Amino acid sequence: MIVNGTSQTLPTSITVADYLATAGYQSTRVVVERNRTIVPRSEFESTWLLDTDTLEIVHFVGGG
Amino acid sequence: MHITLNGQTLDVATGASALDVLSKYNLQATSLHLLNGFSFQDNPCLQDGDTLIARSVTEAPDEAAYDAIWEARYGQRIYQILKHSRVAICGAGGLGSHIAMSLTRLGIGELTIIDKDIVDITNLGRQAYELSDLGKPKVIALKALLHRINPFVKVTAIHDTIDAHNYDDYLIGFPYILEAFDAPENKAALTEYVITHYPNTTLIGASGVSGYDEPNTVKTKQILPQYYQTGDGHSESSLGLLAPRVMLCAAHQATMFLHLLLTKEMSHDNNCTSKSNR
Repeated sequence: MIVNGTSQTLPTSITVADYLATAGYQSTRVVVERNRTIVPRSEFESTWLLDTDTLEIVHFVGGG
Repeated sequence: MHITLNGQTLDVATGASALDVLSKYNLQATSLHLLNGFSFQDNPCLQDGDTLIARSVTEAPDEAAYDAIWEARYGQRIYQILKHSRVAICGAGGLGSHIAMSLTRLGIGELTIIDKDIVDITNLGRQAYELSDLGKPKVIALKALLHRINPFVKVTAIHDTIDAHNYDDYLIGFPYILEAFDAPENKAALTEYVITHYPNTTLIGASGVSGYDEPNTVKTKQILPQYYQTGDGHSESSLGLLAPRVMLCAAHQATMFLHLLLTKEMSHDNNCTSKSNR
């Protein structure tokens, strides 16, 4: 699996929600693109990642 | 050869000077003289296609005179692109208020500005507001401020919270949206919605505008095909939102918008020479 340009091994099947949690992201502060399609936040818990996936995780910090 | 004087096309002798022409039309005593949109000293010789403007320096222009000045200065093509543009700015705080000011100075045609807040004293540490604005809805105060600079920009001021329930009420049909929110959840929600539902819209947002790191750590990157992001990507607001860096980020967003707008529009043009590059 490629995440933000970096290769990572996916040892077991995992949902987007769980991946975000293990990687330290708050799900309300990210936008996730999987294989060039946005995964809506409402589908984080029901979308299972594959080893062949390419993810872009856009993370937001506050201030403006 | 032909020149324009205060919008009127005139036939003048080759080699005529600016002051010759102004004197002939009794305009030499006016207090502001512009050749192709710029003040001049001395007495330049005119060239075919030049634009002369002579008016009172203290007098605010009407719309036709205002447009003539910027067309002379930027060239008609660029100015008309700006004047026909409409942009939505989500957030009227440190980023949004400064983005709005700079686009207004450009002569943008229409702005929609959305924010739920009122102005308080802490905002003056980085936002474009003044003491006389305290207690007013930001979008109302901002509209008035913008019109004191350029009365011809159409401003739609929306004093409301926006989220998935009402994005479509305000944001449909904008080729460019500037994300200028404060809370990261609002940034994420708007970004997800715009990318998913408005495939023809380019979104320019921000993440990481706080602190006092040196300015070259601020970048604007294309993150996704229709999404650009300004900031350093990591400085949390707990580091403090400080005017110079916040204004730098706002200017970055506005500059990226200007770059995308003009390069995209002008790549559609034929190969004709404009007067803008004298």
